Amino acid sequence: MSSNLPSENPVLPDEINNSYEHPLKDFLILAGSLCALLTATIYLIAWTAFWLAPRIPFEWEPSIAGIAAPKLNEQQKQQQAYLQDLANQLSASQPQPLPVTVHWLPEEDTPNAFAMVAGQLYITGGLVKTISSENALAMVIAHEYAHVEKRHPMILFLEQVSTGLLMSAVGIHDQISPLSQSAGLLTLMSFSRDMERAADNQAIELVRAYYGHTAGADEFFAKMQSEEDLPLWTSALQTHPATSERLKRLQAEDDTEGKLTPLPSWMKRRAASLETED
Amino acid sequence: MQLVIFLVLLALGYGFGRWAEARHYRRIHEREKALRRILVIPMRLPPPEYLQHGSTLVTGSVVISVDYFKTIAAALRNVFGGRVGAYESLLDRARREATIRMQEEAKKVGAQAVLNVKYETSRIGEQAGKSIGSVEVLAYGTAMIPRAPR
Repeated sequence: MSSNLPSENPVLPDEINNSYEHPLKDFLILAGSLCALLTATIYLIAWTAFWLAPRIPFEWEPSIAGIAAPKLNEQQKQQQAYLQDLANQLSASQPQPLPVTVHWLPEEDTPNAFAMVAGQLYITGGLVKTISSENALAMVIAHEYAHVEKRHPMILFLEQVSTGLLMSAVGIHDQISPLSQSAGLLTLMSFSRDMERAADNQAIELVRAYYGHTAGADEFFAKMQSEEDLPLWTSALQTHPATSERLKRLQAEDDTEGKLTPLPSWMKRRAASLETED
Repeated sequence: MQLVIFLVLLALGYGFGRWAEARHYRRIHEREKALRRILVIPMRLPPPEYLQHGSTLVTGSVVISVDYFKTIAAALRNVFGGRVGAYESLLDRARREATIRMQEEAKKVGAQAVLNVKYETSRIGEQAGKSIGSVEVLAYGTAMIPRAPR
């Protein structure tokens, strides 16, 4: 009987069921397009937030604000009143100043200040400890006030809500979320740095209108720069522009000479005495 | 930072995955060559040559794990669609390895050929929450064993 059967199995070709395309090439193209797509979308969201936020009445902001006011003793209330007064006077030069509420965080040692929705400004004890003149404090308060006036907290709120919605609605696979989140974050951070620059610029105007010069306005940034030492490449990962850049911007003003207004002694002393109590 | 962990896992997955895949293909080629005389035939009924042969079930099964890089590459494919090349090579390896193991079993029982070869595949461990899973491929068929040594 003649055999119809082969004597051996055929040698299997490798490239039919397995494309042998370099996996990295495929991966990089896909990851690149995903990041580009997300960056474009987030860019659009951020741009829309910038457009929309100033058109939302400021009076609506308290409805989305979680207001955390720390408990203060009598001395600390006096310090908070001084900060509030300074904020009011700085904003008084604006044609239509927005009402802000200054919250004093005397127990917080990290030098920091931030603005939140509904005109909530927060100033930490650590910040006041760092500086020596009222002018430097005024620059920081004016900077935070500028955020409020430019509706930056509202912009951030809109950005965060809509990117959060986007991420959950698209339901991008959990596994690639580190990738997509980083792309989104980097885009938002670049907007954030633009906001900081805008706030710096307006703060200079406010400080000049109040004191007649911008002397001492750079003190806080100079102090911060002497402490931070970040390599240049990290600037794309920061929410704020490099301190050296901001410092250069401030020192480029032509009226950096002038008489400094001292801080009231009790402002500093009690902030310092809190430290020794600890 | 989350991104750093992600990138490290990705690089590890890529490095080890590529290394393991290359090594596995080398071994597949060697063994396929060595087992070429154990015929693998999909037909259901024995050809005339094998009518007098004895028969028995032979199976070969293999479980291969997906590496992190392949998972991410596949997840990206989930967004854009298209062929998931990363999994294609994985399944190609698994099928061929399962076939080889089945042939090895057939050789052990003295068979000349395996008829009626079928494949089944299932995923393992994906329900456990983490979606890095494994794939099982089972190859089975009827080994045709000559009754008396020729």
